[in-house]
Amino acid sequence: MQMNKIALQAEKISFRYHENSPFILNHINLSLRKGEIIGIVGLSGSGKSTLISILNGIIPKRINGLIDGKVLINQEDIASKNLSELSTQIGTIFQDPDSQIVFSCVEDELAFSPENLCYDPIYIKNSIQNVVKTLGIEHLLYRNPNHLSGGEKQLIALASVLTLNAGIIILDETMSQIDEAGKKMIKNAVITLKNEGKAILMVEHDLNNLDIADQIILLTNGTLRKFEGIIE
Amino acid sequence: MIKNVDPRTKLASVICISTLAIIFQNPLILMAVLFAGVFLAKIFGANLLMLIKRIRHILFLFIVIIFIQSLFVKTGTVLIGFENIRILTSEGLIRGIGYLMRILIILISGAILSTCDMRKLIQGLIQMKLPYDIAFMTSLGIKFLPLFVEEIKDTMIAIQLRGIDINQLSLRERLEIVSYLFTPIIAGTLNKSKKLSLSVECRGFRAYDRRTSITKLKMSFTDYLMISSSLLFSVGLIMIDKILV
Repeated sequence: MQMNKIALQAEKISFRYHENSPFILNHINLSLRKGEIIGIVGLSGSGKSTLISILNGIIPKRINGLIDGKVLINQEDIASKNLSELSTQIGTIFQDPDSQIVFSCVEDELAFSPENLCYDPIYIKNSIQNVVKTLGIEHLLYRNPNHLSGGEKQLIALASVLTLNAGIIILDETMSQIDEAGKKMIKNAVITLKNEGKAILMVEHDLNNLDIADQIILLTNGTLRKFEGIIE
Repeated sequence: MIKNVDPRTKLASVICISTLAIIFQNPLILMAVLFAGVFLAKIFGANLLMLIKRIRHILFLFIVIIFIQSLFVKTGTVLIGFENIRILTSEGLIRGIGYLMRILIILISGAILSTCDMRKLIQGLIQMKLPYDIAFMTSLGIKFLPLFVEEIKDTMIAIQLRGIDINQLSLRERLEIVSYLFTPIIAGTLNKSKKLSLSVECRGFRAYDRRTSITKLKMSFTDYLMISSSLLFSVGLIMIDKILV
């Protein structure tokens, strides 16, 4: 069944910045399937951001370090791919929406990625219409993102990576700076994407934000283990 | 106010008035350029009241600069002097006023450009054959200016929350505070730029030498008319200046 195919796989990932520095990540194994939401929780400094940077290719392509193991997307090693190629397969939404929104109109923001990759303008317009419909943000299409709430901004950031139709979505503490209403908006959008077959990895330091995840994994001291507790 | 003006038209008008502001010395001609700038700002919908509001705190600085400028010019009739020392001359005063008008024209040019939609401005620059990277980075710089100001305000508030009343400090102490601000502000700005560069790269920025666009600008008759008028105005003023000289 297509829903069960592994979209993203990390195999024995270990990472440290220098020869003499301690390991930040140690033998990490992770499998994320299509139509699945995995939540990773960990304290500040536990290596969450490092893990994301390895999964989306920023490490080692833009940030140097010593990395062992490999990351596979749809069974293909990402080592030989550049960040632009990866952007069509994996989309990352970062913590601070103001650091990723660049234009003063939502439509321009959503068109940015496919324009960079030379997609046909007609295709781009259709893709934007599909994405805003999926996320229920048609009413925001011609608004200025700088005038939107934190939750709406994050939805725009999410929509902007979806216009490339990436199959894997990584959310890096996207709910840490927004109110309850904003969190609800993001969670609804994530559930919709899951139902569409997207593989979603949510990284948070607050367990309560992961109540929609199919499974939760705890990241401590650079290693992953299954979270067995209950979210209140 | 004229709506839907092509950003290239605004750019052409701004280039005309700012170039005239630099090449002319005659205060009468500079006055004409200033009026033209105000007229353009009005028809392009620039908010000049907001501009005045923003620069009101540094207006005194302009007056001081004019005065200092005028002190260095010793030709002309002496207006203020002390025995044989010429402090302020008529020529110096005219030069100072000219300098003030130049500053105002440049500020008005900025206000005109601020009425452009950033994406359309980038597109305009691209259609003028400017590389996308440069156009994008220029417009990003404009976008990040308010964020930079916000960073400074936040750091100032953080200092005040620690019990330091900046208004009560002497000039020397204030300068010391500014030196403390420098590190967090620069670090914060660098951090933001790093995050932004990673974010745009993850979205395919600079993937290819070229890119497609859903925005396509087309000049209207009004645009051509406005560009021609700006050019005619510039040529006319240059000729008047030559006659006056």
